[in-house]
Amino acid sequence: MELLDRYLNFIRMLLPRAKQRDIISELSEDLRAQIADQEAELGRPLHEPELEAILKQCGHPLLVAARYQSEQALIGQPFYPLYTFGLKLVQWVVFPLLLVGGAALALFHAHPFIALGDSIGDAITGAIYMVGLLTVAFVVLERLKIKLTFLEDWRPRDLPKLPAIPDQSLIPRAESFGAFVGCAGFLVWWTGLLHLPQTPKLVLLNGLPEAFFWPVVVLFVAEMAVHAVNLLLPWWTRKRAAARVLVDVYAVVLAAAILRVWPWLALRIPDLSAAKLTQVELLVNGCLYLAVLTTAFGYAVCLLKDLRRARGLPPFTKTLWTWLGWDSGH
Amino acid sequence: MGTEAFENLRLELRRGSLILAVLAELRQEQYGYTLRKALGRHGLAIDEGTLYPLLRRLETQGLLQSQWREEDKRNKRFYQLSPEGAQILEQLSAEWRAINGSLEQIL
Repeated sequence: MELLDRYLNFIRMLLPRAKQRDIISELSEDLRAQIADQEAELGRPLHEPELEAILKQCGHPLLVAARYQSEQALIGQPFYPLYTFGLKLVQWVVFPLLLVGGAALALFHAHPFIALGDSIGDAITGAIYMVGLLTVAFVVLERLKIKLTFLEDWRPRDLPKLPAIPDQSLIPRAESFGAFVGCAGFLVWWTGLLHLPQTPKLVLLNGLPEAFFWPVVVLFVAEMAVHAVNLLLPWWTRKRAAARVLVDVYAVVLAAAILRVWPWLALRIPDLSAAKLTQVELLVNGCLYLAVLTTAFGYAVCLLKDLRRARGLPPFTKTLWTWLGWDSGH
Repeated sequence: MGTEAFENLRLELRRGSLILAVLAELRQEQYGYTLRKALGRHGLAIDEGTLYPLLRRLETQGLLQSQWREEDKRNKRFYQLSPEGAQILEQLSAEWRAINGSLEQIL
């Protein structure tokens, strides 16, 4: 019976101290009765594999002990949806705010890139702390068995008005028009058709290398073409999504190539000392770097969305709405 | 996948019915092992890892009473329906028959 004792001792270790003796005695009695029955049937003592089969059928000690736990969940039913909503707030609001705030502060730091790396680390740590605090708060609420009175005493009219979810296959014409005009405006400036007035106090010595001129033109012409089609036929098709995927990939590659040749701008400001000028150049280049990086990130997100569209899957935003529990069935 | 879904739903369906079966069987005093055998004979096999926590829960709710007693030179815990349990069993049986009747019509 060494095997049986080992099995029972393992379960005992996992049980609350106050209940150990009672539960193990009962379980032991059941298992011994099973063994006695089988031995009577076979007319001999059980061999080890037969005993093992009985214990295996009873279940792993972890599972057996778990069934005796009165608490089967850390955070139970009434609190769980609130808890997951809190987690989503941390993920979609708190973490991005910490990230953007940290990145903005890093720009004014003496070593902006080191500070940017630190701020990303701080944002991740901050979000993890928030998740921990939230979990502890809800576990305490659960353990104190606090009753949420508003779950019983509520009126449908008091529910907040949430934004309606647009039909995800439609492309808003205003969006296409705005993007088309924006791209056209940029191209007019980029190709030199429109000269912005120069200030005598700030002279731009050099900008992006010449080699990027045509690749940027190609990107914006492609964007204009896609937006023009979307303006005329404002709904997603798999072919159109596939075309967008190509534009997105091209844009991400181009942005990566542009980022590699940073810094781009050199300035001349007559009234400024050399040390101050270096600081201003770093700040301007830093802002532009962040802008191109954000654009590249935006394109990467669009690429993921467009890949789903091209494969005929529901868009991310719809999934997100559903995940947040705000999908009204559109 | 289909088998797994069926197994999960079958367990869910059995869970509620087992409580009723256990309460009904315990109109007569029994200890755990004989109760398991009795349920098995009626086609409601239940493993010890499920039965004993269930008995404990029903006792905590005041539906069962139990006592340790020696029988055949072995200490056994005997369970029996409490007066409150008997009342609940009556109500649950009526509910079960109503559900069964409705399901028979639907199925």
